[in-house]
Amino acid sequence: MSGTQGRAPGAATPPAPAAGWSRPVALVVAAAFFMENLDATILSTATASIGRGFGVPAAAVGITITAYLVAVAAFIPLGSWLAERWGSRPVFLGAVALFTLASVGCALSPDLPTLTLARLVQGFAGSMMVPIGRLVVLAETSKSDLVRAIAYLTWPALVAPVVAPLVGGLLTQYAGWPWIFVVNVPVGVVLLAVAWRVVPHVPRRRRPLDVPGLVLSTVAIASLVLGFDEVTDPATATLGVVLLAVAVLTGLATGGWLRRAAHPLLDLTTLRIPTFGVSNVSGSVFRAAVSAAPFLVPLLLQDGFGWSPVDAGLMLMWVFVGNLGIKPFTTPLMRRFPLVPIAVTAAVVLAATFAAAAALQPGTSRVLVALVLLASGVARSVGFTAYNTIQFADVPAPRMSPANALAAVSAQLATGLGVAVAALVVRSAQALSPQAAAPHGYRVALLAMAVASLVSTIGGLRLPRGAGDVVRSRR
Amino acid sequence: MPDVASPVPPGPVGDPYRESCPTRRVLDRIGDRWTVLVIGALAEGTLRFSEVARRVEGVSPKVLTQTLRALERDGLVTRTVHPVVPPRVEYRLTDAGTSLREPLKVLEEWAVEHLGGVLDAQRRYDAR
Repeated sequence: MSGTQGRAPGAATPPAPAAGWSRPVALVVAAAFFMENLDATILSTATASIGRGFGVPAAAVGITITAYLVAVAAFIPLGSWLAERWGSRPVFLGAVALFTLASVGCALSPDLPTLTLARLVQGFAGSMMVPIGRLVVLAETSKSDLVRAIAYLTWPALVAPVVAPLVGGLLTQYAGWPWIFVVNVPVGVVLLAVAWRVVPHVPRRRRPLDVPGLVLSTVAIASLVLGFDEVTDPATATLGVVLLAVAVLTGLATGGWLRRAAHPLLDLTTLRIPTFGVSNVSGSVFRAAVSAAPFLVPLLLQDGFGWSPVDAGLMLMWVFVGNLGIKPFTTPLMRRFPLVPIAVTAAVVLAATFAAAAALQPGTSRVLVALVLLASGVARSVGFTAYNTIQFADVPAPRMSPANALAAVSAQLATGLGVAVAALVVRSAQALSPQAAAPHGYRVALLAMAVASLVSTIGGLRLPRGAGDVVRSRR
Repeated sequence: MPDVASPVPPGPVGDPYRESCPTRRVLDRIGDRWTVLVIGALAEGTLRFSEVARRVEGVSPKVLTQTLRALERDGLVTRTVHPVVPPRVEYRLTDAGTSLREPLKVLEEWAVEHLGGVLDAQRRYDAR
C-alpha cells in the first residue's frame, strides 16, 4: 500500500489512524447501504396487507413509505455534523443499532401511526448510516484504491430498488408483512458485530453546530420530498404546490446562509473543485434519469400495454441482470479507459435505451424488450460507478467530510427528483392530449429522460482531458 | 369510439332511443359488467390496480386496464401515479363516479336477489 493520504493535491496529513483500504469495512458499509436502500421500497408490495391488518385503506399506508424517504433525505446534514462531532465510528454503530431497533418497532407496530413513527426513526437512522458509512470507507482509502472502494459502495443503490418489491412481495405473501422488518434484525446484529471489529476511528473535528443552516436545509429538503409526493395527487395538489414553494424559498435561504456562515453545515465551496462540481451537477442529472427507469418502465408495460404486474416485474429484472452482469468489469474498465469518456458514453447509451423503450409497442417481441432493459442496466451500472469515482478523485482528504455530506444530499435528492419529474411529465402529457393511446404519457416521459441523460454529458464534456484520472493509476 | 363528453348534436337532447344520441355510449359504459364491479370495488375506497384486480375476480389485466382507462376518460374515476419506485397507481371514484354507485348497487343487488328466479326460468325454458 502506498501512503494512506493518497495523492490528494495539497492534502494536509491528518492524524492518520489509517490502515488503508479495507475490504471488510467496505463490505460492512455496503451491507448497511443495502439494508437502507431495500427498506426504501420494500413496503410497496405490502401496503394492501398492512392496510388489511390495521383496518385502514391500503392507500393510507403510503404515508409509511413517504415518511421514510423524507427522513432519509432530511437528516443527512444533521448526521454529517454528528459524525464530525462524535466521530464516525460511534455514530455509524449507533445508526446501525437504531435502524435495527426501529425495525423491531415497525414489526411490532399495532397501528398505522406507530408504524409511521417507527419508519421515521428508521429513516433517521438510515440517513446517518449511508453518508457516514461512505465517509468511513473513503477516509481510509488512498486515491489509487478509490475505484475499488467505490465499486463496493455503488452496487446496493443499483440492486436494492430492483429486488426490493420482489423480496417484499414474497415475505408478505409467505410470512406476513412484519417479517419484512424482522429480517433486518439478524442482518443488523451481524452487521453491528462485524462493524464493531472492523470500523476504524476517524479523527473528529469539533465545530459549532450551524443551527440556522440545519433548520433551513432540513425544512427545504423535507418540504421538497413531501411536496413532490403531494403535487402528483389531484386531491392534495394545492398542498404540494405550497410545499414546493416553501422548498424553493428555504432552499434559496439555505444557499445564501451557507455562503455567509462562519461554520456552514454544508460547505458549498467544495463544488468549486471541478470534478466534484461536475459529478454533483451533471452526475445528479444522470442519476435522476437513471432513477426514473424503474418507475416508467413498469408503468409503460402494465398501464400502457396491459401486462400483468408479475410479467412487468419479471421483465424489470433484466435491468438488474445488466447491473450485476457488468459489475465485475467496471473496475477494469475504469483502469483501462479515462473516467470522463466512460461516464459520457454511459449517459449516451442510457439515452438510447430510453428512446428505444419509448419506441416499444404492445406487440414488440419480449426478447427485444429484455435486451433494451439489459442495455439500460449496463449503462446505469457503468455510469453510476464512473460518476461516483470521479466525484471524490480530486477532493483532498481534509475536505472529504464536507464534500461527502454535500454529495449525499445531492444524490438523495436527485433520485427522488428524477421520479417526481417523470411523474409530472406523464401527467402533463396525458392532460395535454387526453385522446392519445394509453402508453403516450409514458413514452413522452421516457423521451424526456433520454434528453436529460444527454444533457448530463455537457458538464463532463467541458472538463479538461484526463480529469479525475489520478485515481486510475496503479500503485 | 366517439367521445362521450363531446358536444351533443342538434336535436332532442339526451334521448337514448335515438340512434345518434351519445347517451347510448354512456349506457354502454355503465351497463358493462366490469364497470358495475369496478365501481362497486372502488366505492369501498381508494385502491391500487392489483387490489381492484383481486377484488374483481376473473378480470384480465388488459380488460381491467381498458375499463379503468375508459372510466377515467368519462370522468368517473381519477388515477393518481405516485412518484415512488416501484410506481404506485391508485384509483378512486370522482363525485360523478360516487353518484353512479347507488343505481349500480341496485342492479348488483337485483342480480343477487333474482338469481334463483332467473336460473329457474332458464331451466324451464331450456326444458321446453
